[in-house]
Amino acid sequence: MKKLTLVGLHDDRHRILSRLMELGVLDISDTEINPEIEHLFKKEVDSDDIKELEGKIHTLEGAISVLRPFDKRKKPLFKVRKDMNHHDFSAVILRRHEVLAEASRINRIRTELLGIKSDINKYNSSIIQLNSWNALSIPVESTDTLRTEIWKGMLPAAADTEAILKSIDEEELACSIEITGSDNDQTYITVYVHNDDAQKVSSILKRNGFSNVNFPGLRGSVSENISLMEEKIGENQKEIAGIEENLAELSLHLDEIETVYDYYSIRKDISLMEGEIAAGKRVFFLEGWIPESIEEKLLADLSEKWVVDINTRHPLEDEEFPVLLKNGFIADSVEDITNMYDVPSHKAVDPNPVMAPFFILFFGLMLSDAGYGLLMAIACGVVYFFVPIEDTMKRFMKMMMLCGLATVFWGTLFGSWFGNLIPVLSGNPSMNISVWFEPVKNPEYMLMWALLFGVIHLYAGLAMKAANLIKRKKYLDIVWDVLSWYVFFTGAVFLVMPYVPAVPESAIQAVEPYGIYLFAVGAVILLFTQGRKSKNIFGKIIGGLSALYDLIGFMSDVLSYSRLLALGLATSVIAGIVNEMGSMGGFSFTGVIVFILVFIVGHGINFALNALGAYVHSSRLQYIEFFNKFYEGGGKAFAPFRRNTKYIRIKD
Amino acid sequence: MFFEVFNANFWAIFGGALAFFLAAAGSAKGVSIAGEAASGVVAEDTDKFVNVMILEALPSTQGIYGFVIAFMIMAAMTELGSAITMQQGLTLFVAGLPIGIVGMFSGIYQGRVAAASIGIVAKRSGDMVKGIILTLMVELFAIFGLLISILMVGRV
Repeated sequence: MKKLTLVGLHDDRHRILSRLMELGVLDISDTEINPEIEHLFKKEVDSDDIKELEGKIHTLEGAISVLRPFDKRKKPLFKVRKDMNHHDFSAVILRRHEVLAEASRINRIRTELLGIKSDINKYNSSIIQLNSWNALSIPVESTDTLRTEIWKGMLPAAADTEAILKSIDEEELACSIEITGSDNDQTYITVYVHNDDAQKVSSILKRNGFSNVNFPGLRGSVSENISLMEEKIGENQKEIAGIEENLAELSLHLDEIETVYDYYSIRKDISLMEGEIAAGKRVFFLEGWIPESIEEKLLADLSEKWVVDINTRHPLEDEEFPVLLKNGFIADSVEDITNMYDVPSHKAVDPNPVMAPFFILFFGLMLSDAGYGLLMAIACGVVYFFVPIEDTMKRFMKMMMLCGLATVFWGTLFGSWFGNLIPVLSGNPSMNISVWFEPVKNPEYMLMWALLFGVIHLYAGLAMKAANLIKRKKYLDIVWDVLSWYVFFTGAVFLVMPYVPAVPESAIQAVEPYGIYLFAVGAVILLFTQGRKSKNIFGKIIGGLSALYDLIGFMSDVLSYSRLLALGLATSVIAGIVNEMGSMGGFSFTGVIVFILVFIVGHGINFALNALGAYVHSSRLQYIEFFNKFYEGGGKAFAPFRRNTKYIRIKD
Repeated sequence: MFFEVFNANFWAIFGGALAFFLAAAGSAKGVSIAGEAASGVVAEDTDKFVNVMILEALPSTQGIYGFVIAFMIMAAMTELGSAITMQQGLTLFVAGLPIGIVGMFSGIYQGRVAAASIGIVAKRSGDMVKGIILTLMVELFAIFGLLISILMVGRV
C-alpha cells in the first residue's frame, strides 16, 4: 500500500475524479490541509448541486417503485446488476432529461392513482353509512316543511327507544318518530315534529344521546344515491385499470430509468468527493492509498490525459493504512467470515489462509453427512460456476461448496450417507460402511479426536501469534509469549490425558512421564516472564500468576471443541430416525410413497437446521477460541473510490 | 407390585421422555421469546427477516439434543432387550437428566439472549454476528449436557 498525493488543475477536477472512479483503485482518504497553506486551499461542498442531484434521484426512485409491481422482466434467483457497455450507457445517458421527465410523469400518475383510490374509499364508506338508512322514505336532503322540522339521527343502542317514544307520547307533543333501522351500536330514527314542539322533543332526545346526521351534498332517495356511488366506483375502477395498463407499458422503460438512476448516483458520489478534496483557486489536491502493483498504471493513465503531479510514498512507521487482503482460491472464500468479526489490522498477519482449512473442516465435521455434503457442494458449485452473481455472493457460494466437499470427506470417513440410508435400504441396519469408524457407535473415541482437533487449532492460533511477532521483529517475545505457552499447555495436555475417555493406553504411557516436567518448566518460565511489562514488583508477580490461571481458559477452550462431536452426532442420529420412520411402511406402493415423502421433508429439515448450526458454530470456534490467541483487529478495509451502482455494472 | 409396574423399562423410557420434553419445552419457550422480539423487528423492516430468523432459530437446538438423547435411550433399550436389569433402567433414567434439565434452562435463557441480540440487529444489521456469538455462549452448556448424556448412555 502506498500513499498517493495528486495535484491537478481545478478545471479538470471533475473529469479526473470520474476517471479515478472508473478505475476504482484509489482509496481517497480525508485529505489534510497543512496550516501553512490553509489560506490557499479549502474543502468546499457544493450543497446546491448535491441537493439537486438528490432531488432527481428521489424522482427516479419513486418512478422505479411505482413501476416495480408491473415489471415483467425475468427475475434471476440471485439479484445481480445488469452488465452494460460504455456505448449503451452513454446512449441512455444522452436521453437522461427525457427519462427524468418521464419519471416525474410516472410520479404524477402515482399521485393521481392514490387520489382515485381514496375516492373509492370515500364512496365505500358513504355506502356503508347509507345502507343503515335504506328504509328512509323521504329524500335525504329534506330537513323541514312549512310547519314541521325533520331530523335524522341516531340513538345509542343502549338507550331504551320504546320508553323514549312513550314519554313523548305521554306529553302529547306533535311529533312522529319513525325507526328506519338499527345495528349493534345504534338505532336510526327519523323525527317529524311540529315547529311549536321542536324545542321540547329536542331536549328529550338530546338527554337520551340523540345525535343528528346530515348528508351534505346528497340529493334524492337513499337507494338512488347508493346506486349512483356504485356507478362512480365502477368508473373509478375502470380508470385505475386504464392507468395500470399504461404503467405496465411504461414499465418497459424500467431499464432506462434504472440506468439514469445509477448515473445520477454516480454523479452525486463525485460531487460529494469534490467536497472532500482540497480546492484552491486554480489547482486542487487529494490524498489516498493505492496498492503498489497498480501505482504505475494509474500514473501513466492520468498523466497521459491531464496535467497532473503525482507523488507516492511508503507508509510511515506508525501510520495506519487500509488493508487489502490478497488470498488464494480457498483462503479468500472465508474473508467475509473474518471481516464480519473485524478487519485484520495493517500491522498483523492476515489470518485467512490458516483459518480457511479449519473453518471448512470443522463445518464438515459438524454437518458430517456425505449425502448432505454432496448435495450442498453440487448446488453451490453450480451456482458458483454457472450462475451470474455478485462477488460477495460468489465468495459465499465458493465457501459453501468447499464446506460441502469437506462434509463429503468426513461423511465418507464416518460412513454416513443420508444417515444410515444405505444399511437401511439393504435390509441390514448394522452394516458398517465407514472408512474410519462410526461416531454413533463409539462417541468416546470421537470425543478424543474432537478435543485433539481443538488442541491443534489452538496451537495454530499460537503460531499465528508468533507470525505477528515476527512481522514486528520482536523475536525474543516469541520465546516468552509463544514457545513457553506451547511447553506449558503440552505438559498440561499430557497430564490430563489419562482422564480423557478412549485415549489408547500406549499413548498415555509414552507421554505421561514427560508431562510433569514440561508443565513445570512452562509454568516457571511463564511465572517469571508474563509480568515483565509491569513497572512495579507487584504487577510483575500478579502478571506471572494470572498467566498460570490462563490454563483454565485453555482447558475450557479445548472442551468447547466437544461440539464437533455433539453436532455431528445430532445430524446422524436424526438422519437415522428419519430413515427409520420412512421405512416403517415396508416395501409396498404406499410404503415407497411414504418413504419418499418422509425422506424429503425429514432430511430437508435436518439438513437446514444442522447446516445452520455447523455454520454458526464453526464461526464461533474461530472467533472465540482461535482469534482469542492472537487476533489484532481494528483494521480499515481498502475501500477504493469506485462506482457504487445499484442496478447496472458498466463494462469497459 | 410397585416394581412390576415401574420396572426397568419404565424408568428407561421415563428418562428418555424427560430428556426430550424438558429440553424441547425449554427450546419452545426460548424460541418464542426470541420470536416475539423478531416479529417486532420485521414489522419495522422486512429486509431484516433472514437475520432475525437465524437468531430466532438458535435456541431450538436444545429440543434437537433432547430428541437425540431420547432416541439413544430407546436404542439402548432395544439393544438390551428383555435382559435389562433394574440398575440399567435407572441408569438410563439418570442419563437422560443432564440434557433434559440443562436443556430446559439453557433454552429459555438462550432465548432471552437471542431476543436481546435481535435488538442489536434492529439497530445495526451489520453486527448480527456479534449477536450470534453472544447467543452461542449459552449454547455451550446445552452441548455439554448433550455430551454428558451421550457418554452416560454409552456406559450402560
